[in-house]
Amino acid sequence: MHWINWAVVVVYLTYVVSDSIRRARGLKTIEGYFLANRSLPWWAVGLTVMATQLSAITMIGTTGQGAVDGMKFVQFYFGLPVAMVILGVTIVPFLHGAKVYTAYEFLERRFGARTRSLTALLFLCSRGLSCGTIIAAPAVVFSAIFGWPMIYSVALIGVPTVLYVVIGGVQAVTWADVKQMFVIVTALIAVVIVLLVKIPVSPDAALTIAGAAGRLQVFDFSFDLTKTYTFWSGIIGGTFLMLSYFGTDQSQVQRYLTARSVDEARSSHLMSAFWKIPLQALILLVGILVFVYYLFTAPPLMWNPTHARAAQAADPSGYVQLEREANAAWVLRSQLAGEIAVTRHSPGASAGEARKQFRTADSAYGALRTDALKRAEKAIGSSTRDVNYIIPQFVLNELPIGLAGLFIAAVIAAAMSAVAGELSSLSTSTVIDFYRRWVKPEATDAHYLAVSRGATAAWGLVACVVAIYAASLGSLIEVVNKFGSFFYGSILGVFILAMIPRSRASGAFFGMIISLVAVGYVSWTFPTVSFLWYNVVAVVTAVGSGLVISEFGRGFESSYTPPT
Amino acid sequence: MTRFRKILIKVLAAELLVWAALAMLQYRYNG
Repeated sequence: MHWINWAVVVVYLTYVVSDSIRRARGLKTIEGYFLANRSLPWWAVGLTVMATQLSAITMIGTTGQGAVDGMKFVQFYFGLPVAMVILGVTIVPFLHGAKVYTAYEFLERRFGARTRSLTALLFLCSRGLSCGTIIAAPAVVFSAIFGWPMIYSVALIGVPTVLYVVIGGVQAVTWADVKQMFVIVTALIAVVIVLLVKIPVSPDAALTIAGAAGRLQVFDFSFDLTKTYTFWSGIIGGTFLMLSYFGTDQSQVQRYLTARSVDEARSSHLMSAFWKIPLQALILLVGILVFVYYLFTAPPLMWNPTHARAAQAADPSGYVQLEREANAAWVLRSQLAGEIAVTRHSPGASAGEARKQFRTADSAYGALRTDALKRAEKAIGSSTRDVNYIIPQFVLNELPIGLAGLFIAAVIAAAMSAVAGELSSLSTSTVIDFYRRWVKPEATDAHYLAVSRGATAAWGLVACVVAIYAASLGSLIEVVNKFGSFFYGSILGVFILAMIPRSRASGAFFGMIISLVAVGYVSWTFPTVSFLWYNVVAVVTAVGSGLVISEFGRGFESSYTPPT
Repeated sequence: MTRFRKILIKVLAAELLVWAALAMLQYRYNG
């Protein structure tokens, strides 16, 4: 990469870290460290809510997904505005009004220490590991593209993040997120403009070609439980997932607990509800336009250079032959794309015929690419995730100097903001739900502040170590990512029970365990059911069984509930 | 009307607009 691009990245990282350290001045209490003294404005909280959710894999993986699958992924977020509105009138006023540090602290007041500790432990296990995968995903891509050892890429993202979270706490996290969202949105808009200038047909023709390739298919109204992204899985399963994530996951709850008032906390959520789908559509649009760009500029057969070399080394003559065939298929597809651009307004059958031929040529090219990916997977012994390399290759090879640096800075910013929010919440839950609750209930603020900084640094170290070994862990990482979706709905079920006056501690605790078993059963017995439906299953079983146990277990209640 | 309700109405209206825009995009270009 050109030195000017690196200069942009270095200047950005230096600015974020130094500004965060400056904001840490006068930090003397854990309320300041974990909750910014509940003093932040709604718009800053809204931006940090969005930044925490948007990770680097959104910038490189989702854009790549847009290039391959088109707009359909946006349906995943259809439940988000609905969830935000529901949370605004239910859990947000509850938690903000309770003046708690963590969501799980609230559960102890309602159901006792056992339920609190179990939910907090599930959060720490899952988030502690997933924090490493958030660093690992872009680090793997950087290492493949730049030819670095994995440890350098992890350090590039991990070290500045850990530094500013340890020193500045949530205040630093929030104001860094504000800057990071600005950089991310600016980079995305700049890339869209560059693409529209570089694509050799008009924007209308580019969208017509993308549409002909099926990339602008947004809505899928089929009620198929095995399809991951449909309108119904997004609006029903997505609503439950977003309710769980934004309502009960400490990495998000902590964001709105820093708001000045309940009204500002709710407004911050609605801001996210307002912007999330347009932002996600913009991210997918980048991928779709990159797809159109490479219809007119010859792309490599595979985007990950390391995997391409592995596939070639395994069968040199076969791979060269495959490349030749793919090149011929690309030339034909390119000509037909040009034909669509010319005939798109002409009446009669010519436009329809051009679209039909283009779709056939696109499928033929896709089949050759699938063949190449299978060869690479056989050579390396694991899945290639080639889609994650499309955007980085485009950025480094096609964007002007400076703008490529800005986009790389935006990818690092996305990783940093997601990791920072998680580190801060992991440290909060460790100190508030375990250290202060079970180890040292009475101590000075200075003591808790020192322990909190130590906990943040320790979780940062865990995240970096997990990230370094993530590439070699392979499928285990997928298990870790799925692990979160197994119990999200169960925790939401417990929070819903907390708001129902008739529910009792035993109902909440055993309802949660029954729902975990139910989700395990569904995922084991019906492996093709999309994970978005797990949340619906978990909430229904947790609330249903929790209420039944509460009703029949009243006589045994006192023996289950420890004093609070 | 509180500020929250005002923003709530805007969000719901915006959501409908976004869906309409996405539907238009699909209808216009996806054939």
